[in-house]
This record gives sequence, C-alpha cells and structure tokens, in this order.
Amino acid sequence: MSALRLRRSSDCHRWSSVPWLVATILMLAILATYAGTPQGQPPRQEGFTAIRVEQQDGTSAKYMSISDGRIEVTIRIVVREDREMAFTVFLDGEQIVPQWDDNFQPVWQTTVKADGDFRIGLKVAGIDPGIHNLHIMYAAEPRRTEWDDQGDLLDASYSPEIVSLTVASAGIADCSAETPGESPPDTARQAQTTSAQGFPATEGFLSVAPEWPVVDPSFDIRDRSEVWYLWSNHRTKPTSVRLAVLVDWIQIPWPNLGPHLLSRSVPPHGEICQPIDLTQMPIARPSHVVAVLFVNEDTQRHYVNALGEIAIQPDGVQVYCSNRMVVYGLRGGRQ
Amino acid sequence: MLTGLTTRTRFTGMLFGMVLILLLAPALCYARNWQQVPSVDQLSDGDSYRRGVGDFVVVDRYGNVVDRHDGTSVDQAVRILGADWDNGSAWGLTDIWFNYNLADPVQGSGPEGYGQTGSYVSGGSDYLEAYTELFYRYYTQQNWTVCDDAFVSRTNASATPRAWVEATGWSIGAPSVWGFKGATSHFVEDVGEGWDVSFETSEEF
Repeated sequence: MSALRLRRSSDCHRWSSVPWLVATILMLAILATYAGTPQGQPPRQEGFTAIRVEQQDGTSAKYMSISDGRIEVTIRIVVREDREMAFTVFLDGEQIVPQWDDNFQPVWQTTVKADGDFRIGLKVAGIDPGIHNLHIMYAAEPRRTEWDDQGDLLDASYSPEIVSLTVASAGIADCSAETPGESPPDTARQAQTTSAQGFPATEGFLSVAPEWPVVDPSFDIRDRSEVWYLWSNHRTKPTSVRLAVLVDWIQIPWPNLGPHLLSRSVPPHGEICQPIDLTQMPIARPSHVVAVLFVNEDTQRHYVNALGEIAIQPDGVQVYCSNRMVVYGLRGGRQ
Repeated sequence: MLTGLTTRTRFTGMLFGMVLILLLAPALCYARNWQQVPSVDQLSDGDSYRRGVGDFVVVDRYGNVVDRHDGTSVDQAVRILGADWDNGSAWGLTDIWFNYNLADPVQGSGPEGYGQTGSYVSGGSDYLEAYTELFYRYYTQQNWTVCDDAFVSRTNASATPRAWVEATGWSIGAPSVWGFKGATSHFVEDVGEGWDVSFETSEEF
C-alpha cells in the first residue's frame, strides 16, 4: 500500500511537470517569435515634395490660355533633401516628348537640390485648339538606404505623384464659358468618402495577386510573369477611365492588347482587375513598372470662375499613379 | 516550504501559474513593442494612443477627437511650406493603434488607424486628398499585405479629410506574431497659389 501510494505520488509529481514544460516551450516560442518580428525599426523619414508650375510672368500655370499652340513654363520644386527625380509629361493621357531646359526627352532625370529654389524649364509645342489636360508626373528615385534589407524591397509608399494643369488652346473664344457648372469655391465639398474595408484600393495599385492584394514592390520576373492592377469605383455613377502602363517611366502599348490607353466604363462600386503580362514588356534589370489611371479624362480640372479666379472642378479629370514595382530582369539581381 | 502542501495543491498551483504565464506572455511581448508603453486600462475601446513625445490623442468610436494633448514633437506629422513660399501650410499624419477590447478579445480587438490631411491656406479653392492603407504581415513574411484602405478627397481649405481604416477581428496575442503598418499618402492642391504638395507618413508596430 505504501509502495503504491509512493508510486502514485511519483507519477503525479512526474505528470505535474508537464504543464510547466508546455508553458516553457510556449513562452520560448512566443519570445522567439517576438525576436523575429521586424520591431524596433525606426520610423521611415517622411518625405515631401512641393511643386509649382509657373508661367513666364510668374503666375500659376494651373489654367493656361494660349493662342500659338505652345506653352513655356517653369517647374519649381521644394524637397527636404537632395533627390534624384524623374519627370515626364502626359497630354490628354498620352505621353509626349517635351523640351526640358534644352533637351527633348520623354523622361527628364535630374538631381533636385534641397537648398534653394530649384527650377526646370518645360516647353510643349503643337497643342491643338481646344481644352487639354496636361499632367506632369514626377517620382523620386529610391536610394539604397530606402530598401528593406530584410526583404530587399523598396518601400511601397514611393509612388510617383502627378500635377494637373489645364490648357485652353486657341480656337476657344471664351474659355470660361466652356467650364462646367461652378461650385462655390469656399463651400466644403465631399467629392468622395469611402471606408473601403474589404475592397481593393480606390486609388489603384499593382498587386501580385488579385484575390490577395499584396503591396510587394519588387519581385523576380523569373518567379512571376503577371501582375494585376486593382481599382475600385466608389462613385455613385458610372465612371469612364483610361489606364496606361509605364516601364521605366516610358508609356508602352498594353501587352497583348495593343493600345497605349485602355478605356473602361466602370459602374458604381465596380472594379478594375486588369492583368499585366510582364513577359511581353521591355524589362531591363531592374525596371520600374507603374500604372496610371485617368478618371474622367474628357473633362477639365481647372476653370476660371465668375470672379476671374482659377478654381477647381472636383468632378474633373483625376489622375492616380499606382505604387511602383521594381521588376528584375532575367538575370536577376539589383545593380 | 512546499512540503506541507498536498500534491493536489501543488499541482493546482502549478496549473494556475502556467495559465497565468500563458495569459501574460503575449501582453508582455506586445508591450515591449511600444516605445512608450500605455497601461492596458489607459486604453479603452475606441481610444487612440499616438506614439510620439507626449502626444496623446483620444478618439471616440465614431472618429471624433475628444481630447488631445500635444507634445513638443510631431514625429508623425509633416508641416511644410513655411516662410515666404506661400501663405499656408499642409500637414498630415498616420495614426494606428491596437484596439483592446477585453470584453471581446477575439473578434473585437485588432489594429485600427486613420490618416488625415490638413491644409491652412487663405484664398483660392483647395483640393485635398488623403489615402490610407493598413498593412500586416507575419513575422516570417516579407511582404506587407493590404489589410484595408480608404480614400477621401475634398475641396475647401478649412476641411481636413480623414480616411479611416478599421480591421478588427484579430485574435488576442496577434501583436506578438504579426507586424502592423499604417501608411498614408497626402496630396494638397493649392489652386490659388498654384502649389501642389505631396507627402507620406507612416507608422508601424
């Protein structure tokens, strides 16, 4: 009896250590997990860009009325620190070759200095009569320190930005008469408000999978041959959009489709889920791939109101650039 | 000291200690992620703790700021366009936090956040956009997965659009195994002066 009690006690004591063992293992697993998380990284330094496009007299070029089919403006830029930047211009959704200072190039790459008033001259000629939408896209080139060493990825927030201008070329007798219905400029106007839980991004972005929106700004083309552009229309009426794709800031024909601009009419709460075949694109190593969405391209963004002031039409053309993807060439590796 | 206790008592004590450790471990790991650790009871459902030097923003469940204590540093906000560049400024912030709901830790707790764009400009008609994305990733994952997003655009200089994201429903202990990141991009078009401002803010834990 005594031996039996002793054995029971011994068994119980032995089994009583199991919960402690389990707890210890779980604790170690949790701590190991914590140690492996990307915690403790300093917040990324926020960057900003302030840009103003001026006419020759120093006035804002948001709305330009011209008679000779050409514009000559100056781009002024303020950045927090020196940045390598790329600039390109779209006229009514089509990329053009303007004159940057004294150079004719579709893409102008330069170092924008943080100290002082940085200026770039821009000339565009051959603008047909009528109202046109001019968009200047600019993007900061990433530096090595802005790559995630662990993932070898570029921060997803480095998306290009776009400046919208409206050009009224000769042949328009009264440009202000062509403007859409005016809204009082000092009245708060909610153009869109969305809480897009469960929906693809309204602004539009490139994803590696339509059903699993992952903002992975780079991947090896040897592993994937297709990416997706996702956009959701939260407007309450059908919206016409045009979609462009750029490789290293050059607008290219849509792979397997042909045109430089894909036109779509998206119903309210409808979505765009457009595949992009990377194997049919001129990918160097590494190449930046972005998609640009023009919403209501047939409308103008700026107009002259009854007071003679330049005002904005929120329902006018809106342009959104996706996140950029850095696609590796067939040989892989970043230079 | 324990020799006077019965085996059953010792076993019960061990079991209780084990359960206590298991309950506290995730919270301890989570707390270590914070630069400044708020006590659990300091936060309630819908409250917001904003990292930074002394900055504490309390937001009710409907998104209204009910209290704000500003510090001397605005580490997640951006204030630009000063001096003689123009007559105003633009700012934005990202604010994400982990929403404790102890009454519903499984379905009611999770990351939440918002992005807000502001502009102080006199004259002209101004256009503001705020775009917010909330990401998460497993610790083994290198990609940030879009958890939720929102987009707001408004005109009028006095407006400060705020884009909300809400992603509750994550299990308790998630902070110890997942990383979260909130990011916002902001765009302010000052039509009157002709300046366009774009910038990003981010926050992660």
